[in-house]
Amino acid sequence: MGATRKWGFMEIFDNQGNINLGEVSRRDLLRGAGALAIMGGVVSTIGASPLNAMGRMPAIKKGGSLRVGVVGDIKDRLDAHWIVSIPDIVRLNVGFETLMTYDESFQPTYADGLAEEVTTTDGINWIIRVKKGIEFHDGKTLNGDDLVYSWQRLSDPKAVHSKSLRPFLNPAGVSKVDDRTVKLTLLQANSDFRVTLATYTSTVVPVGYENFGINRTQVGTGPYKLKSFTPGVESTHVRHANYWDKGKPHLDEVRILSFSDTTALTNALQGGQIDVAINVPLAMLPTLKKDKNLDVYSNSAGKITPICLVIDMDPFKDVRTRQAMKMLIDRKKLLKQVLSNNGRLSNDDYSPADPNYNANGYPMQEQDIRGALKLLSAVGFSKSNPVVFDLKAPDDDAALSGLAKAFVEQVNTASGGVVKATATTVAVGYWDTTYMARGVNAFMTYYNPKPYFPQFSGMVFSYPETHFPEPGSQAKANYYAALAEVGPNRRAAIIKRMQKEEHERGGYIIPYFVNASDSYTKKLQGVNKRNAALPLDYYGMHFKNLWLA
Amino acid sequence: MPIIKFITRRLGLGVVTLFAVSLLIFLVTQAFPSDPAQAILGRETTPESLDALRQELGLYRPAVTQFSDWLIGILHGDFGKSFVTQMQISEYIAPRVGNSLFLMVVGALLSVPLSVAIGAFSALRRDRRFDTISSTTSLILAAIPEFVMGTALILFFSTSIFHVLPAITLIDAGAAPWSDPSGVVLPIFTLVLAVTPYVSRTMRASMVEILESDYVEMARLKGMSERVVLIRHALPNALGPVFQVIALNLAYLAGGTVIVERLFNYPGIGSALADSVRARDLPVIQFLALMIAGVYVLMNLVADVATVLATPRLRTSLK
Repeated sequence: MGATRKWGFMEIFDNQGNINLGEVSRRDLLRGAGALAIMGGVVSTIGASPLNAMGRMPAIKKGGSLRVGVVGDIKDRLDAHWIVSIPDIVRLNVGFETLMTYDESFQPTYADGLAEEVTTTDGINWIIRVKKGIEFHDGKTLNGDDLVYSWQRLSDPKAVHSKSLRPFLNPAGVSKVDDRTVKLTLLQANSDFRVTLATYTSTVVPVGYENFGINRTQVGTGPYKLKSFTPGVESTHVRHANYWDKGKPHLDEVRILSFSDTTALTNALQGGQIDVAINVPLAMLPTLKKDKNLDVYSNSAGKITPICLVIDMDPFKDVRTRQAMKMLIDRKKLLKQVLSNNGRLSNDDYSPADPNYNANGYPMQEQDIRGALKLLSAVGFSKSNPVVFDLKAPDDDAALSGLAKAFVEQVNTASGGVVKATATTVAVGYWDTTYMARGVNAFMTYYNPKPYFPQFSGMVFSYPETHFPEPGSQAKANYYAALAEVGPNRRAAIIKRMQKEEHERGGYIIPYFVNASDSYTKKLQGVNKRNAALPLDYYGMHFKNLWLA
Repeated sequence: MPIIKFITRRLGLGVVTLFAVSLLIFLVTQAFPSDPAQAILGRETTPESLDALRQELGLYRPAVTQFSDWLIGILHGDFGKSFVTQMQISEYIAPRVGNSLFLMVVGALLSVPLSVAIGAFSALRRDRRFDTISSTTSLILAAIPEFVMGTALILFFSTSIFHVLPAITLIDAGAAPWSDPSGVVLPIFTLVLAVTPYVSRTMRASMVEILESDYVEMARLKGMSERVVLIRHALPNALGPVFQVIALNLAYLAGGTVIVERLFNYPGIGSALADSVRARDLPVIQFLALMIAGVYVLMNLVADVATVLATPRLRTSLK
């Protein structure tokens, strides 16, 4: 399953993110929101249309069928809110839309979203009004009832998805105001709830949309509507004639084809049988870059592949052992060895695009063997009583198993025998049997780029991989307090405290940020090469900006 | 009719073999790590929904009941439902069986006559240029695994040197495999290259032995034309052992195309098997494993009968 058996769940509803207002007041921002939306639209249009050699915009060619390849299998599913793997995310994006979207620094924006205005006075009551004349694939006009239904479905406590939305919203808090407006009353203040609206799984569905689990229908507001779907084989999506964003989409049809592995995927791309390959393996990058018919786009927004050390299990119970592991590694060497430098260094932190990134300004951790050995010796470890653990990794992503092996090799060698770690690649069923399983104290995971707060929420609430925070910690309380806090300075102070605790006591080792790469034919136009949470800038914003020359 | 008795006996044995195989498949799939409900729902699920799904899938029934229910279902032509797609297995697998069958049949139609011809001709031209070249080539080809062969073909014809043939097969859902004629060239070519060396080498060895036999020499001494000697006397006797190899290779084509199908992204039973193992889709795994075993049993039976019918001394020894 290639680099691909992605935990779509991990991406789902890590909702409670943050907007850093800097010194601008929230009121100013809201007033400027309409203008921002228009500007965003203009900027994204320009960004999406490369100038030709004469310095003129090439004329957009309408029509044609875009063939998109992605690694998938019979577990491929269609649902507006509950998705699992990368092909599911691609299909979600072609048919469904969210109320807001993220800009390049992961700030919520109205551009390409369904909402016209989102307001709050207290962080608890949120009023959302959608644009006029938005039509679903079945011809029905989007109204207040659809918004109520969508948010009730999203916040359904019985649903398997969107768990991290639960502390903030339940179906009783959703009510209709008028035909274009819905009111969400949160269970606790969250001044950054717009981030939830911009999360790509917060999509809008029509009243009655009910196809949890395995299903074959898709009724959204997106630029293409579903024509056919066979799990593990393909789906075909045709142009939505009454799409609200006039003049778009440009293509007649988008076909999403499932591939059994990345080899078949890249072969098909090089052989010209598909136009776009989503998530190409790093090993193939040099070959693809050399191909004169192809373009490669690397998204450096901050995908991470953390090594998870479980902090309430031996040998990592003592914080000094965790610190020593972080000091023993040579990050630059790992980046070169595993990623061939297709990424940049991380200090075991995350969300580099977020304005709150490294709020305390910690310097990059260099390899410090002497310091590490001193800590380990203080804990009581020695060559005769070494730190022993087995780091587990899945077989479906070479970037994960490769890092596990390289990490183990480095800590063993650097410690001169005080650490005796092994790396095991689990052949089948890693994500069901090994990942976060009881008794497993060291394992690999990965996350697509997202803002600081959703990432924190993902790691602490949805997927408590390292069992952080420790008992008695204020980390969770700090998180809720920061979300509720509207004063930028007070909020920044809380964030610094949160990051300090993670830095000093956390169980994640994140040596670098990974550049996620996609490749496509040079005939494909309209690709906005900016950093984004999803490949190709949200797949060309639901494929509506893309066209074939 | 002794031959009918022979076939009946072999069919009976085949059924016993299949029962043993089905038991083995069932036991093996039960021993899989993690349960299907967990694999289907993923990790973000509640104990209640896991419990409900296990109930729905009938995973709480005793193993013996699960096995007997499954077996009785099969005997009634009900192969069950795929855990993952919730489709009837017959409905889900049928197009894929058709696709794989197409690869297998075309592969066999090309490789069998080709290999018999190459083998026979090599034997006739023993130790001369054609024989040396074909023997060396087939030895090399036999030593190369299919995925290496397939990858080399892709590099040569699709991605690196020439761009004349598609690197993968794109068959639309519900469409026939020949709807993408250029897309099936390389998978079929790979299969032909995988099967031909074995069969042609066996054919050559068998033919060489026959050509040196007393009765062929006798036939020649009687003044029969070389053509009659070859077609009437040598070929039928030489084919006997070759049938066995052909049958094994055809059976291999049925199950062993997993790698070729995966390489070319071909939507057949091989890729369905790989998919269902990953997804812990037990009913599909059980069905496909049983079907492939069935093909093996059937192919061996056909080969045995063909061998008996083609070989005069075996034919007459049946009582």
